[in-house]
Order: sequence, then structure tokens, then C-alpha cells
Amino acid sequence: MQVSDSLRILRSRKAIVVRVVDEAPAVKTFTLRIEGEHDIKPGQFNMIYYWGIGEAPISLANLPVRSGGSTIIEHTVRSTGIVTNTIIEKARTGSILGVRGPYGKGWPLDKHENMNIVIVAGGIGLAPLRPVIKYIEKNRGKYRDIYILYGARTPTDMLYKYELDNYFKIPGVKVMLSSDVRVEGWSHYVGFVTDLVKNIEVKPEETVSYVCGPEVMMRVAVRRLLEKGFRKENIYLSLERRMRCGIGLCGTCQFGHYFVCKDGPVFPYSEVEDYLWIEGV
Amino acid sequence: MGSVYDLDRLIRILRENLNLQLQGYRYHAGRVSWGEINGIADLPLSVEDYVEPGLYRLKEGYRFRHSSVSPKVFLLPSEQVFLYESEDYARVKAPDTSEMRQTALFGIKPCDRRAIEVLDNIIGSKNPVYASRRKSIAAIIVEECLEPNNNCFCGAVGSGPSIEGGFDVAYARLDEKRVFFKYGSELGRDILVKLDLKPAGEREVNEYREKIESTRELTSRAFSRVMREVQENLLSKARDKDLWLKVSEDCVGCGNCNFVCPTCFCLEFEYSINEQNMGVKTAQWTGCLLYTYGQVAGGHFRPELYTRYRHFVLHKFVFYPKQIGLIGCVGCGRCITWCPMGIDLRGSVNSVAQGGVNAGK
Amino acid sequence: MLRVAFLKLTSCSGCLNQALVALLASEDLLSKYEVVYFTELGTISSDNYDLVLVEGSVSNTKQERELEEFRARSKTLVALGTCAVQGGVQSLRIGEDIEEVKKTVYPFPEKIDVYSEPKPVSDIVKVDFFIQGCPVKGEAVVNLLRKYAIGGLPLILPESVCSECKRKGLTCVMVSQGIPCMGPITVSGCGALCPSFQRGCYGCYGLRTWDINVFKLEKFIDKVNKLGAPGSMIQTALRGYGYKSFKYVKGR
Ligand SMILES: Cc1cc2nc3c(=O)[nH]c(=O)nc-3n(C[C@H](O)[C@H](O)[C@H](O)COP(=O)(O)OP(=O)(O)OC[C@H]3O[C@@H](n4cnc5c(N)ncnc54)[C@H](O)[C@@H]3O)c2cc1C
Ligand code: SF4
Ligand code: SF4
Ligand code: SF4
Ligand code: SF4
Ligand code: SF4
Repeated sequence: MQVSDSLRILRSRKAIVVRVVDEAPAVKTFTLRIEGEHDIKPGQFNMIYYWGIGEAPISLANLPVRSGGSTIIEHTVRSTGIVTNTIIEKARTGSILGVRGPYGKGWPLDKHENMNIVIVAGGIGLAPLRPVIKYIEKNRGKYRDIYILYGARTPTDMLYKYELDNYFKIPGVKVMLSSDVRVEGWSHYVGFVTDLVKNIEVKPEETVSYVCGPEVMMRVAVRRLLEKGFRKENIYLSLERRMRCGIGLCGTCQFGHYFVCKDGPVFPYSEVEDYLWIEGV
Repeated sequence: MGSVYDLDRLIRILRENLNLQLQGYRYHAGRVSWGEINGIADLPLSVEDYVEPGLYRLKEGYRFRHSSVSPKVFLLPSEQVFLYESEDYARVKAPDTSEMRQTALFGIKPCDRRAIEVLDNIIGSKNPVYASRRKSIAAIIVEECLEPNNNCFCGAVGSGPSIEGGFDVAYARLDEKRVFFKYGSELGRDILVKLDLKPAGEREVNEYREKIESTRELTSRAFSRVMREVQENLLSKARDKDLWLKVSEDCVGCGNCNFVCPTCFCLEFEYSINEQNMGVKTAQWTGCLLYTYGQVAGGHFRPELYTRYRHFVLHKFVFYPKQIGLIGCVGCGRCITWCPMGIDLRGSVNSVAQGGVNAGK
Repeated sequence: MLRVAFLKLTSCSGCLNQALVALLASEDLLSKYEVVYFTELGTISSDNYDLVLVEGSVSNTKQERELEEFRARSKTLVALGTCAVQGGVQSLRIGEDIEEVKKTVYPFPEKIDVYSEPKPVSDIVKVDFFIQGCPVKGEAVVNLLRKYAIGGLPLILPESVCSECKRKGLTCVMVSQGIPCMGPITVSGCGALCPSFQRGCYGCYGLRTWDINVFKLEKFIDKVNKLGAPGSMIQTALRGYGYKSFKYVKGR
């Protein structure tokens, strides 16, 4: 029997919510169990479907774990519109969500063995970088010095607060945190996370940087990293665009000549420098 | 060599001997739309399109070139159903495509044929609806153009007015009666053998060649620079906001240009629940000129109209070549004709490529 | 069962009828919704609602009070139709002397308690969802009710009427026949009703204010004027249905 193209291309797989964690106002992390294999890599994303309401592209937020005949994955979702609102408000332990993916090109961790890695994350932008941190932790010997620069508007808006302390304990990892606004009891930096770039001490030619956050923040991060002497091709950004299909058929995620969903979402700055500075390209 | 009555015989061979359904420009009740062709009476043989930017009139004549439809409406329909899924994902159903009949595209233009090539490359098998419709096409019959309309510029982008490959049979109307046929494939040759036409004489071949060349000449004048320079200038001027504001100053973001363009393929996904309580994934045409195209929850990637018009132009001339190695504009002029504000793509490209409004300052 | 109320303010009942008929015709919805209030049938019961569908614009302080009360008693409030969303046909009187208007329309104008500028529902209370239309389409209401029943809302994608016109495969009446058409600057939702009858759109879903600023509007009006659109028609179309939002248009 011929499998219909539609079934092959656009079918969602059933995922059961096995855990929900409140991260920050209107942000939750969902642990999902999917029957069978789901081979998703850090930096890639799934289209998460709230049945009947709609789909949204959501990045992988933790390394996938095989357990019995299923795969456990995590996604951190912030409520912004129709689909994400419904997921945040309605999905509970035991709920069913649809998963279509994995899609996109992730962080090229394999290519960067034996290098230093500087992670720069803003707000919810830590979500796609969390599996990177987990991967490095598991494969610590493969990488050299690691910096994690993470900032949010306020400390309350930070993700994974319950495990940030653990990052400090990973050998050879320096963590720098920032809050945009001054808040009582905050002992870390106050200001933009991108300011912290000047404090890193690495040889730029042996270092790559992975950046994710709001686009304005990523632009500033690129400037700071370039000032530090980073090579254009060693700065990686995870970009976001309006995205309907995830597989390059709907066309709406175009950024210059790229389809963010399949050519990205992770791009080396050298590939996007022509476009990143032009409004609305 | 044949006559318009041989077109009727051609239709019959395709329908009866090859058992194909025919899809093409269909004349009915004073307008030319897209639909099934059952006989010569369905063809727009005695009408001619008169166009200007923002204006279209169908009048008497024998040189029909365009209407607002194109093969896109068959290959990539404006509403597409992808999938039905039950709430627990246990039951899944795709729309039945087994009944998709084998099809011949009839009377499409050389520029239309190029548009299909563009679509094949940019979406190909990624869209299941497109893939199944594309697979159903068993024959392509092209009408070459011996006289362009005012907005045609296929010569400038190399998509017409003649066709060299990717078709089975092509025909061109030397005048109201006489039709010049050629084949482009084994199948096409077999069909012409069945048609049993008398060979064209030297005079007729020359007449055909001359008319093709004059059409090529007329449709090649659109741009004041060679294409490579046009493309380089467009990209280097991408940042010149004032320039793009100027060329898009009349644009109201209605999206007609996207919808009529034979290579615009962008889709909006929609999700609904039907009476059988199945979740339905569907899609419909959208376009980069529309506001919601780049809109996201709590933000917008192209809120300003000039950035959207710019994307349209850059996608066609700069980004498509990088994506698939072909210019995305096939020079059909539909976006010019059907823009209610009469914005002329050729003019926009020229003013940008020439250095634009700021050039003299 | 979800409890739904149909509230009518100043309007013609066309939208509520569409909504009610759509609900009654969908068996799957009847098992999920219970109509507990319908203005035209009088109060049936109830103090609290899951969903209130409001038709009509607000014309006096009594209606303001009523609306506020319903808002307080409902989880979700939906503005149904052009009157509720933007002011509707009643807005034609904006700019006219209200006493004159009353005299022209009613035999006992002194009994008519209305203020001069009808207000859209969102001027008075928070609106969770808008359904455009004059009248709204039944499918749009069914879509809302189905999605609301599982805890979501539809995604609204307001576009030009031309989008619907082209998706339907219609031939543009303006370009091919020179008939003035407001489609390019008008919000979609009607399914390009007028162009499908070979008429120009007269803008009843309201102006696409997010793209059409004063500058673009003037360009467009020039265009339809050249096609011989009577000035009064343009004025009427803009004021009648889109005036309220038109005031919020930013300059270029
Ligand atoms: C590659 C990628 C990874 C992402 N990862 C995450 C993540 O890990 N966590 C998270 O909370 N958010 C993430 N986002 C953003 C998230 O996809 C949007 O917030 C979400 O799509 C909003 O959908 P909505 O239906 O709630 O909003 P609405 O505005 O109601 O959505 C309408 C439609 O627009 C599309 N859309 C809206 N906003 C966006 C957007 N920003 N990007 C792409 N499409 C959009 C969706 O397809 C949706 O169906 C990611 C986006 C991209 C492109
Ligand atoms: S260019 Fe013309 S057709 Fe395209 S959106 Fe602008 S006004 Fe509409
Ligand atoms: S951009 Fe315009 S001229 Fe070019 S193919 Fe599209 S509709 Fe035709
Ligand atoms: S021009 Fe716009 S609508 Fe057309 S294919 Fe390109 S992005 Fe899509
Ligand atoms: S653009 Fe060229 S090929 Fe297309 S209809 Fe016009 S003349 Fe013919
Ligand atoms: S008829 Fe009106 S609505 Fe339809 S495309 Fe033309 S201008 Fe737009």
C-alpha cells in the first residue's frame, strides 16, 4: 500500500505530558514521552501541536532520553499567542500533545570539539542552549573552557533556576548571570547580558560562541563578540521567524534567501551578516 | 502546419486516445479562467487580452496571453487539505488522491512552463498536494507567443516567448487560422504523427521565426541593464530604505501581486475541528505583501509595507537564484496587470537598479 | 456544558441570528453548549456565563452598564459583527447633529436616548475575541465554538478582501471592468461577497488600518475616484464602517 505523502510529511506523533514545571511567569517546561525513537539534536526544534488549535515551533530544551520503547524529551514554552497560550493553560500531566519533527539544523557541537565555547543566552533563549550545556556536561573531556552568559529582564524571568547552581559546579565552566533591572538580593551583574562578553578570557581564534535570545540582543552580542576578536564563522545564532510548516514548504520563514526552518534555525554569523542588519529583510 | 481545427483534433487525441483530462485556460461567459478543456469551444481562441499596469480588458482578437489565473491554481490550489487526525492521534486520514486523474496541461504559455519549473524546484515533493498534482501531469501542451501583451517581459528573464524543452507539443498561431506545431518529446512526436499534419513550408517556418524573434525583442526591453547587474544592484540597495519607500509608495498591501504570480507559493496553515471530531490541517494561499505574513505573537518581522514589497522583488530576482538557481520571476507581467494600484515591477526594478531616487542627490 | 449568553445592543439581530442558527445546526456543539441568555427572548436565567457573544454597538449609558455587568459575569466575551467591533452602520451619524438625525428617523425623537457617537464594545469593556462581519458568517462562529470547547480560540488572520477574491478565483472587477472596489483596503472575512456578484466591495468589514494610513488612503481614493466612484460613496463607506478605527490611523 502506498503511504500518502500527507501522512509521511505532516502527521504529528502522539506525545504524553509526563511532567510540567513552572519556570517563570507564563513559561513552563513540559516533559513529553513519545512512543519509539525521536532522534532530535540540540538546536533542532519540533512543531508542537495542540490538537485542533494549532502548531508552534519549539526548540529542544533537554537531551532526549531513551526509556524502554519510548523517548523522553523536554520543551520549554512561553505563552505568547493562541497556540502557546492554550498549551500553557491546558496541558497537564497526562495530556496529549502532537509532535512533528525533528526539524532544522542544530548547534554544530561535533564540529567544535577541542574548542572553547561561549554560550550567550537572553530570556527564553536559554531553552535551545540548555541541551548544549547538558551535552557538554556529559562529554566534558571533548571541549575546553566553557562560558555561560545568561541574562533575563529580572531574576524571576530566568529559566531553570533550580539547576543554574549546578552549572557553576561543572569543572571548567564559568557562569555569569545578569538581570536587566536591579532587584533586591541579586548578587550578580545588573545590565544587559551582552555586557558580560567583555569579561570572558579566551583566545578568540580557538573559541566558538552560541547565541540565542531576542534578535536585538543577538545583534548586540555579535558586535561585542566581533570586538573581542571572534571570527564571523565562529559565532552561531539561533534565529526566529514566522514559521508554519517547519519543512520549507510554506515559505513564510524566509530570511533573505534562507528558509530559517531548514537552513537554520542555527546559522553561523558569516552566512547571515548581509541580512542581519537590514530591517525586515 | 495545421489550423485551429487541428487543435480540436489534438484535444480529442489527448482525451480519447491517451485518456487524459485537459486543464488549461478556459473561456466561458466573457472571461478566461482556469478549468477543464473538453473541446475547442472551451479555448480562448477568439479573444485577446489588452493590458496596462492595473488594467485588463478582454476584447475580440486571437492572441490570448494571460488572465489572472495560471497553472498554479491547478498545481497549488488556493485551499489545500493535508490531513485529518483524531484527538488521540490514533486515527489519521489523508485526503484521497487516488482519484487524481492523469492530466494534460493544455495551452499554457512558455512563461507558465518556466513557472512550473520554478515551483518544482522550490517546493517539489515537500508539499503533498503539489506532489500528487504534479505527478498526475502526463503531457504538457504549450502555446508559444508570436505577439506579447504590454506587460509581458519573458525575453528579459529568458522564459519565453518560445519554448525549447520541458513540453510535449507546442503550437503557435501565425494568424487567426494557421497554426504552427512542433514537438518536444517522444510522446509529442507520436501525437503529431497521429495528427498527420502537412509539413510546414520554408515560408511558414520563416514567418514563425520572425514573429518569435520580434516578440523576443519586444519582451526583452524591460530592464535597462543586464540581469546580472540588476541583481547585484538590487541586493546592494536592499538597505536603502528611502528608495524602497519610494518605489512602494502606492502599494496598499492587498497581496494581489502574490496571488496572481505563477511562482508565488507561500502558504498559511490553518487548523480546525470538523463535525466528525477530527482535527484538520489545511493551508491556503498567503503572500509576503500581506500583513500577517511576517506577524508573530507579540511582534512582526516585516511590519512596514516597504519591507514586504522589497522582499517580493528581492525574492524573485535575488533570493530565488540563490535558492534554486533560477530567477523566480518568469516575466508574465501578471503582478503588473492585476495590481489595483498599477505598480509596475519593471519600473521598480529599474529605479532600484539604476541607483534609484537618491542617485542624483 | 458550557454556558453561553447572546447579548444584543444597538444592532439589527443579523449576527445573533447567524450565530444561533450555526449553533443549532451543529449537533456536536449542542452537546457542549447551553444557551442560557438571549436578549430577544428575555432573560431565561443565570448569573454566570462561560461565553458571552455581544452583537451591536453601544449607544447610551444604560447599554454601557449592561455590558459591564455581562463582562463581570463571563469568562470570555466576544464582539460579534461590525457594529460590536467597530461601530457599524450607526456610525454614519457621526459628525451629524444627533437631534436632526433623530428627527429624520423617528416619529417621537424625544423618546430616543442615544449619544451622538456610537461606541464599539471594546471602548467599554475588555474583549477577548472579535469576529468581523456584517453579518458574521456562521462558519466563523462554529469555528470559535468548536475551539473554545477544547479550551482554545481561533487564530484571526485579517487580510484584504482581495485575498479572498483571488483565493476564490474571481476576476477582479476593478482591473478588468473598471468598477470601483474597496477590496484592497478592506478587512477580509466576507469571502469577497460583492465581487462574486460582479460588484465592487463597499468596505463593510472596515478599513485595514494597520496598513492603510492617511497617505495610502489618499492614494487609493485617488485611484477609485479616477474610476468614477461617487465621492459620497467613498465617504459613506469609510465613515459608516471604519470611521471609528480610522481615527486611530497613524501618519506616515
Ligand atoms: C526555530 C524556533 C524555535 C522556537 N523555540 C521556542 C521555544 O523553545 N520556546 C518558546 O516558547 N518559543 C519558541 N519559539 C517561538 C514560538 O514558536 C512562538 O512563540 C509561537 O509560535 C507562538 O505561537 P502562538 O500560536 O502561540 O502565537 P500566535 O501569534 O497566535 O501564532 C500564530 C501562528 O504564528 C506562528 N508564530 C507565531 N509566533 C511565531 C514565532 N515567534 N516564530 C515562529 N512562528 C511563530 C505559529 O506558527 C502560530 O501557528 C521558537 C520559534 C522558532 C522559529
Ligand atoms: S504591489 Fe500592488 S498588488 Fe501588490 S500588494 Fe501592493 S498594491 Fe497590492
Ligand atoms: S513577479 Fe510578476 S511578472 Fe514575475 S512571474 Fe510573478 S507575476 Fe509574473
Ligand atoms: S514573493 Fe513573497 S509570496 Fe511570493 S514566493 Fe516569494 S515570499 Fe512567497
Ligand atoms: S510573457 Fe512571454 S511567454 Fe508569457 S504570455 Fe507573454 S509573451 Fe507569452
Ligand atoms: S474585485 Fe475588489 S476585492 Fe476583488 S481583487 Fe479586485 S479590488 Fe480586490
